[in-house]
Order: sequence, then structure tokens, then C-alpha cells
Amino acid sequence: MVEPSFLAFSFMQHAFIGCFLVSLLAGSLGWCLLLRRQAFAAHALPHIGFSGAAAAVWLHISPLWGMIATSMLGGVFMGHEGRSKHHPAQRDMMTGLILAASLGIGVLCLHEANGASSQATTLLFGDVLGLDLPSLGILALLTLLCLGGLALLWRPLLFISMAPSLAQAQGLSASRLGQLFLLLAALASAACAEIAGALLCFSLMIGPAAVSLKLGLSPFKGILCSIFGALLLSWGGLILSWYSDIPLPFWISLGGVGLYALASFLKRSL
Amino acid sequence: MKEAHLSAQDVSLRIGSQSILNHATFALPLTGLTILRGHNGAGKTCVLRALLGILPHQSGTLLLLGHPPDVARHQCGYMPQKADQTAPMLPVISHVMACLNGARWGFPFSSKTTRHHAEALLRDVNAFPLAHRPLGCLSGGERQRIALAQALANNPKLLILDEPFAALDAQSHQALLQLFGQLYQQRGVNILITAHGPLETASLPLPVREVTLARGHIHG
Repeated sequence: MVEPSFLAFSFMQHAFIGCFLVSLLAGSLGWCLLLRRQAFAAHALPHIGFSGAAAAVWLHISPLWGMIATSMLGGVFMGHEGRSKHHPAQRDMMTGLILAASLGIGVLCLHEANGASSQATTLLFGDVLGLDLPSLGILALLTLLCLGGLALLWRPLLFISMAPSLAQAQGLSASRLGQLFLLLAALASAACAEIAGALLCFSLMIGPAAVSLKLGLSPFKGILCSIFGALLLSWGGLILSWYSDIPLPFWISLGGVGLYALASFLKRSL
Repeated sequence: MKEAHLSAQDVSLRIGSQSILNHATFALPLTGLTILRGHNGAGKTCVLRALLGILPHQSGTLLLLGHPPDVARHQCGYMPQKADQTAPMLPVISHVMACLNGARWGFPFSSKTTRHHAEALLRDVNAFPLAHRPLGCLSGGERQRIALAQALANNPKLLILDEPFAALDAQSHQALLQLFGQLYQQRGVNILITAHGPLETASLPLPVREVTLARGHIHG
């Protein structure tokens, strides 16, 4: 008897669609985060979102809403810190402390919800195979919102990121733009965490973006390459995970490193 | 040629406790090349930043090109003393393209036009062969020319350059001065710079004026 293809199952179809949506977000927003040297934000935002997701579990509401709410709060906080005159090292230190506190709060919320181990695993490592149609609808909405926002911000964001002094001299506000961008990044990281989990969302957002920057591609090509890389990691990871029975985050995280190593090799040989 | 002028009426500019301009009143034509001099710490950079509306002055009326700084800055190009160290891995052409209509909202759909415009700017500053090199691989002088192309992106009437000679050797000094002359002749753009050392400007094909910032005033 012929074994049915993985695409015959609705949960796998949902997973592929979810990965596609999240790859659009991770590739584009991740590239901008790296361009602006905000890789730490990409790491911290989903961790901060974890505490909200855990609180949502405790309150019996969808973890995604909690993740979105606290990620956006985190984005506002980081944006505010970006406006202050602190040295970047001090800013990172404060972000790190908030990140650590968020993990602690998340653990407490899960403990109070009496479901610590299974829920924690889901929130930290994602649950792409558990995506249902309503969740996909929310993901699609988030994707539209983030990509629409990014398209609107695109020119001033690129200008202020690549020639900050000149952009400021032309009247652009680095702090306002930075804050708006971090709100988009927070939304995107909440969506990515739904697939890759709070811990490994970083791989999906930063791995492919690092590859396109390593290759020295122009912004438009760089974002396309980054989206393609994220798609390769997430779809490739899904397929490998189906056949190997090893969880998806394992393949995403290792794939990110592998892609970067390949890009470095290509760059050196060209 | 485009006309340019700067006027101040009873302008005070302070940074913390330091007074940069103290009820200063002056009128300066900025046509050609204007060199603003002053000792270290006199506040030359602050004056440039005030002209661009980045630093607010405390009192008086400051008019650049006949407008207050926050209006006039849209007709100015600016190059800071220290070039921004951003995205060194991206090609030079992308850095210049990012400055074209960069203050407008939305996604640019005509990237071919933007690219041609950026290439023309690079030709104007004799940096077209660098277009596809990563910015981080350029020398100080090459980086300076790219910053100049970026400053020219919005077709300014006035270029405001903070210490453009600071990181250059003597040979590059002369090349940059020649480039100023070329930009003035070809694009009609006027240039206001700050500088420390002596500059050989006698053979330049543009009017040159030196002014000094001292004791809270700008002296012609």
C-alpha cells in the first residue's frame, strides 16, 4: 500500500501555509533588523513575548494574543530606550534584564496555569503542526499589517539606516522611525514565534538575513534572498522533520547556521 | 548659478553652558565656496547643525537661503565630519539610491530611474567605478566622495560639509577642492565647509570666502 504524501494531511497543509507567511515576515523584517544592527532586538522580542503568551495560557486566552501584546510592549520599550541618550551597551544591558525578567514571569505564569512542561515546550519551541484555520487567519492578517507597514516606512527607514546624519539633516526623526519599526518587528516576531517558538524565532529572522548581507546584495535583492532563505529553512525543515521525526526547530536552527556557512564559502570562492 | 545667503538677527546659540553665538547679527553671501574657520571647540559643527535645524537656536532670527532652518534644510545637502559607519557590506550604489527621495513615504516602484540618477551622482563626484564595491572596502577619500554623492541626492542649492578635509592627505585635499569647483560649475551648487588647515584655493574656478567663528560672532 502506498503511503500518503505529507501534503495529504490538513495539518501539514496548514503548516506549509503558516511557514510561507512567517517566511515573508522573518525575511523582510529580519533583514531590516540586521541592517539597523538590532539583532539583539530580534532575540529579545520573542522572549519578552513568551511571558505574555504564558500569561495568556494562565488566563485561558489564545497565547498568540499574549505574545503579540507583550512583544509590542517590548518594542515600545526598546524604541523608547533608542530615543534616550544611553550608550548602546547600556541599552542592550537593560533590554537583556527585561528579557531575563520576562522569562521568569513566563515560568511563573505557566506554573500557576498548572501546565508548565507541555505549554512551555510549545511556547518556547513553537507548534507549527498545531496551526488551525483561525490561527492562520491571524497570521495572514499580521503578515499583511507588517508588510504594509514596512512598505510605507521603506524609503525613510532605509535612508535613516544607511545615511543617518544626512537623513536627520533633511528632517527625518531617527527615534520616531525607530520606534515605528520596532513595533512592526515586535508583531513579526510574535508571528514567527508561533512557528519557530520564542527560543528559535531568532534563527528564522536572523539566519537568512545574515546570509543576504554576507553576500552583499542590494536591499531589494537582499530581502528577496532573505525571504527565500527563510522559506527554504521552514519548508525544508518541515519536510525533513516529517521524514526524520526530529522537531522542526532543530532543522531551522541548524539550517540557519548551514546557510550562513555556505554563503561565507561562496563569498570566499567568488 | 544658484544664489545662496545666510543672515542672522540677534541670534543666540548655546550648548549647555557654552555660548556659540551670542546675540550675533550678520549677513553672509554663500555663493561659491565659503570656509568657516575657528579654533577647536569654537562650535563650528554646532553652527552647521543649527543651520540645518538639528540644533535649535535660543533666540533671534536665523535665515538660510531666505528661509528658517527647518524649511531651508530641504534645499541643503549635508556631510558630517565623521562618515556614518552603516551597512559596510552593501554596495555603494545602494547607499546612494537610499538617499534619493529618502524622506518620502512608501515603496519606490521606479527603481530603474533611481538607479540611473544614483549613477549620474556617482559620475559627478568621479566615483562611478566604485558603484558596485561594498562601502566598507573604500579608502577615506573614496568614502568622502560617496558621502558627497549622497549629499547631492536631493539636488541642493547649498552643500554643508563639516571638516571634509579632516581625514585626507594633501593630494586628496587638492582633488576634493577641484571637485568643489567642478560641482559649482556643472551643477551651480554652493558649498559651505568648516576647515582647520590652509587650503590652496587660488586656482579654483569659483568665488572663495573665509569667515571666522570667534567670541560668539561670525566675522567676515
